[in-house]
Amino acid sequence: MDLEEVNRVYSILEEERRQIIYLEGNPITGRDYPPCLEQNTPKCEKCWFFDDNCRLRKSKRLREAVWEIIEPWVEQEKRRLKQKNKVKKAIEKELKAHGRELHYTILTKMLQERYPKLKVSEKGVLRILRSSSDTFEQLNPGVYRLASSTSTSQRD
Amino acid sequence: MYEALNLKEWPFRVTPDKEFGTIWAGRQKTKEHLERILRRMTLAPKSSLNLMWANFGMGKTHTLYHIEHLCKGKFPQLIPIYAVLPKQAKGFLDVYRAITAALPIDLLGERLAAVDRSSLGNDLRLHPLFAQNPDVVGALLATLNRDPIKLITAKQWLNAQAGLSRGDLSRIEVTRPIRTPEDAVNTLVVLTKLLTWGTQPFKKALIMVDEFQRIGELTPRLMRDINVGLHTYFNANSSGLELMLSFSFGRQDNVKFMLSEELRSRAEPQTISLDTLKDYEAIEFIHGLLAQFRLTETINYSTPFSLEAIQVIVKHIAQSKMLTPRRLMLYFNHVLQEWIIDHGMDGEVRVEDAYRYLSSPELGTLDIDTPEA
Repeated sequence: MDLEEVNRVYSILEEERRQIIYLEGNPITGRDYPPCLEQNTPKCEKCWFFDDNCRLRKSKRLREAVWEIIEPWVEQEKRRLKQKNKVKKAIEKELKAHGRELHYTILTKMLQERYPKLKVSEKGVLRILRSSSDTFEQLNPGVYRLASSTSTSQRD
Repeated sequence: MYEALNLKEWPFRVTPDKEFGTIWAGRQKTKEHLERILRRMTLAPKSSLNLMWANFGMGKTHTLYHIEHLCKGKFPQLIPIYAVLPKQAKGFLDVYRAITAALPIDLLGERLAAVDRSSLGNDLRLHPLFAQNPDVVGALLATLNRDPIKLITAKQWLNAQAGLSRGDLSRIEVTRPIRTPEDAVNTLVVLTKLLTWGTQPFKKALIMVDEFQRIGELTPRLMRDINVGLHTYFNANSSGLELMLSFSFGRQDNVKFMLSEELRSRAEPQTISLDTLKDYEAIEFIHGLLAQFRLTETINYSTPFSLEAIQVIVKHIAQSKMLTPRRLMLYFNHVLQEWIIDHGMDGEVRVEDAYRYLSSPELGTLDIDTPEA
């Protein structure tokens, strides 16, 4: 891509800030981006970003340019999600083995001792507990147990 | 009485019952271990902290009731006090309330009356025993009084209940209410010392705090408050105190997360553990249980079940679930009741009966290994 082309492409990008770029007013992030960017083939039937006049659809170079910007964000997001899933699984395992509700600070201590590589913090554990109401159920402020759908099979 | 079954009482109960504390079924090694620990407690006056862990449905509370029973018979040197950590405790004051509510007030009154006051101008408050909270004297004297208002007020004061007026306090001759964890620790220290004061041979207060795993649901601040209160209390009683904290959850090594470093370092190295039963232990448990309810000695120790029926029921449970005393009670209770409805009380529960009453696919679907199960 020559300089002129780059300038043309980037002029379409209205804003780039805090790992968000806006393409024709639509936000694109490392977590939420049109599928055509990653594989560089238009998958428009699954896309919820743009209509038939989509510029990404029309320009392979534009797709490449945008992907070049967001790819590190996507990788970062994948790493974050992977870490979150590992911590979530570890929390699930601890709650299942314990069999009772626990305060998130105690859970954090258990994880810190038994899974030192996860490097969890109290805030991080609480965030995961709060954001996974399908798996964890809050009984009192800060006190969680496995949601009943998860725990019925526990230890049987 | 169930004469036809050769049972003096219905043997299967699923909730802890103090009257059942006399019963110990099977688990001979655990019984020996318990008695050994109680014996050790009576060897020397020094205080110790004991930890008990039990898996779900393993009869932790029943075991504490049984310890209470043993103290009243085989180990009279130990004065058992059974308390329960309340749900959502608000700090050490709630632990204090749970313990004082279980204290034998009459015995404390007797001990108070026996304290020599001749050199104190008859004022017990000056006795060094009460140095940490002389108000205890006023409250205990009020419990000896026949005036019901004084008695109730004294009990309210001892229980650190809020709302006592100045008039109430002066009625029982105490200067101020118990408000802070420090007040609670000081009062508890005095009460514990009084309980064993001047006893020959020495006696010890065995304070059992059940459901201590509930501390794991508290904020770090409340957890610290309870841990600090307990270890301060323990430190202030270098002799005459046996503190036993009981925990129930699925993993024994989680106990350490519930206790502060100070308490952990004071705990006896040997804990009491009640883990799930193996098949043969479950069969022994049922035999042992039935044996303790016999009206007359019998060579058939399985009655009213056949030996094979017992094996079938145990095997049935073990196929899908953990074997626990609570679960054994539930299933054997179910089979025996159904059998009596269909057959009356004559004969014995046979293998085919066991299969029949266990065959319902609905049976035990709600029975899972959780605290509420």
